[in-house]
Amino acid sequence: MKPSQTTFEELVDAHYAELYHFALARCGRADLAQDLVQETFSRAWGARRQLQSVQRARAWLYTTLRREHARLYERQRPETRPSEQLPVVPVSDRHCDPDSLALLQVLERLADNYREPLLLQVLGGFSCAEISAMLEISENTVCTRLYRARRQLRSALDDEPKKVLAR
Amino acid sequence: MNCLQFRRKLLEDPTRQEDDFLTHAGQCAGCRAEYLRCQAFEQELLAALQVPPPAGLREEIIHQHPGRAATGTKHRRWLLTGLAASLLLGIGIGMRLTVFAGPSLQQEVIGHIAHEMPLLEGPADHWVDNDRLRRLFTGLGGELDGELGRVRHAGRCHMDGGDGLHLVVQGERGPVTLLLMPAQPVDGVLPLQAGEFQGVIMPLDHGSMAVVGNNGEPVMHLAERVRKSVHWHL
Repeated sequence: MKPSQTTFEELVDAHYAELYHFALARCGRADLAQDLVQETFSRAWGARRQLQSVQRARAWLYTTLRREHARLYERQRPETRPSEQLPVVPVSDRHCDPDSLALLQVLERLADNYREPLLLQVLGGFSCAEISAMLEISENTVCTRLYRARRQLRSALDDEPKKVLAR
Repeated sequence: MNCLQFRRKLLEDPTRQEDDFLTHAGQCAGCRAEYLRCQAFEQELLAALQVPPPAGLREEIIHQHPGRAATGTKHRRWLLTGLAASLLLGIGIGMRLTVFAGPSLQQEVIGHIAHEMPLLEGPADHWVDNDRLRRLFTGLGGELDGELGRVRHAGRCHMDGGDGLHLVVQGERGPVTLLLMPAQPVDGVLPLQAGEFQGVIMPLDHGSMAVVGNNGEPVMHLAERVRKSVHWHL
């Protein structure tokens, strides 16, 4: 079956918001996140014949966005904004509440190798095995990183809520 | 499964559905409480991360790809396919008759344009704003210092030499493709003629660019404008 534009639009509709969430959490800037998502879909347009399976397309989109993000950092280290300024786009009231802000601040302090698999699991809903394939590391390593990431997050929020908020 | 194993597995993936995992949650009050606490935490985390995307992002993505009009007639598709074929045939003949350039870069440019033919199809109904254009240049280690006119598509692309920018601007005789290739140097100006298309590949301060439009399009004017406006800091 030849891919149609409808397929591409369906792909965009199904995934652009979650990819934006992932991109924003990775780079911390709304303008860069927007560019990363657009670049990802530009590449998806070029590869649309390979993206007939929805599940395959999803993993492909996340992997492509991760690569685009890495490329960005290869060339330059973009200035990131502290999470107090996140998000820089209009947000719902939910994101202004102190608990969400504290959570984002603690998340930002996680080591990248813990944060990335956690974001892939929480936002993308990927299993340890799928994340293992995407990050090209063993499944055991992914599981260990996810365990430590959640333990550190909860520990930081349980023990130091005031310190986190005061940053 | 004992409580230690359960709690480790819980923090690895709170959504797991294995029987022994769920059975333990059902049988152990302490672990069940921990399970529920963990689920609530996951929901909080997800909610904190789900910042609404900027208004118009979806439309910008869709409009980047004018091929959406491909829901049109089959005839149009065949016309485009034929055009792409004639483009490749044309450059093939051109290379036998002239020695303008080594075949690889010209072939690559033409192949790239043919592959992205939907970008040239249909009337433009959306223009890329200058802020986005400038960000794209910055992302590649460049700077845009001037106006390129009305740009209907802008995105990063990959060619053999490395990453570049693929722009489609509105010319006097239709869409004009601009390929900026900072990692692809050329020695001099290379004319390019293929079917109904004509263009030029020329050096920039880093790498090169290709400007390809319909026959009769004053591509050198646009090429000169781009050459003066684009600077690479690589």
